[in-house]
Amino acid sequence: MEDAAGPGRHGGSGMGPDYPQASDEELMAAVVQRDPRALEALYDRYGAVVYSLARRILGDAHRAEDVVQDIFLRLWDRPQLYVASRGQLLTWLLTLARNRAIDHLRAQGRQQRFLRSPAGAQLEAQDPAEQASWALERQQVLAALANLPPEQREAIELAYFRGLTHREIAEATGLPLGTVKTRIRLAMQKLRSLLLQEEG
Amino acid sequence: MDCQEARQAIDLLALGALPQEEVPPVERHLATCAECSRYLEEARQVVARLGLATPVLQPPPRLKRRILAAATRPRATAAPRLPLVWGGAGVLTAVALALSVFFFVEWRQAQDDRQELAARLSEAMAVVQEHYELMELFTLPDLARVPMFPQAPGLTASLSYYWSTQKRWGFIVGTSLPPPPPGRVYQLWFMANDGARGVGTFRPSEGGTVYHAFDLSVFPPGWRPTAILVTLEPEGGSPAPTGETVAAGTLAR
Repeated sequence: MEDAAGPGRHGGSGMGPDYPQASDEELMAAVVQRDPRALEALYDRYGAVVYSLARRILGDAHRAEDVVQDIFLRLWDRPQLYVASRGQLLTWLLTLARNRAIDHLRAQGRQQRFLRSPAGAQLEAQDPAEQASWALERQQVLAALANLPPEQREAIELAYFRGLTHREIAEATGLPLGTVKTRIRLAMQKLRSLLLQEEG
Repeated sequence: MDCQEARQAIDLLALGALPQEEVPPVERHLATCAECSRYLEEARQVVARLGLATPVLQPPPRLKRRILAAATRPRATAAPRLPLVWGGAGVLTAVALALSVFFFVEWRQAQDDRQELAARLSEAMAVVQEHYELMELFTLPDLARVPMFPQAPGLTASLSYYWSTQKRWGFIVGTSLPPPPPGRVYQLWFMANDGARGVGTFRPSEGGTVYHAFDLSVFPPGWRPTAILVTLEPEGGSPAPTGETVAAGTLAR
């Protein structure tokens, strides 16, 4: 970008960054300066995907909204918790949302996690927000998952979306524990090779 | 634990699938192995991206307003420190301090009142915005309505389901719906030949009014429900209707 002055540009003229076009780093710098327009721009950029994940895990719009609100207020109140060198802002937000949603799910008790929507057929390609900055990355993740055999995808899904441990997955699927571990290991190896390769 | 054993556990740890009691040995290994620590970081990056593999839904517009209102709402600030100056004139200092404390407490009270009022105003604005949103929905040219009839004995609630195919937005509105029994919540369902799909839980307001909006994009293209139901379910919602039906409506084919 032509103006890469970061938060310093907020002084004097009162001009902020070009919010929709600003990089995540520029917006986070503006959040540190307590610029609510930067928070709004980050919400516009990532609110839908964070909401979708929380809703997918919880299956409930209201509680998904609560999770999204928690996440973005945390970003606003404690932006320093995000360390850019450790990964993208989007993956940090998704991690927070997933953990918070799983906490909600666990609070509901074991039955909810075991019985929520049927296993399989959840990590599906759907109409992505084509214009979103993360649309390409999403396509890469969907393609990587499509590369997994269905039984490996199911094991990953049970862990990621339902927060089940390997023992609980074995119990839920009736498979031996060793089989579950192997499926997860093989799936993670493949995902790692596909996704980290894309990144590199 | 060697690196090979650790790697398998690390994948599980990154996924959140390692039982709590199996975490300490992995952490001990990680504390001494930079390679495995890097492996964990990478595994976490991979796992974090799995969140992108979910159908993308637009959150309701009120959520953005709620977040921005909460972020910009004045928060309680740390109390200014009072300078403690104890000179030789003990009595005068004590009186001055007492007065300072008195005015400080008054000042803090006024500050708290102001913040409370600002918070209430902000919440009221959010409600007004929600009402505007509802009014806008009622002006949609293709808005369709289906009445929902009470199914529970003695229930006098009046509920209707509205939707706009063009906007892919649906909502139910209603009046006189009593609060759900303790530990339970109302849940809305669409029924089709292949089963039920839930579209969230809700509670009526204190006055018994209901407004529950949802995005119809959650349904697969071409999926045609035949009925809409409200049931009573355990707190947190249920994956399928299990409780008694409170209201139901039939959708024209």
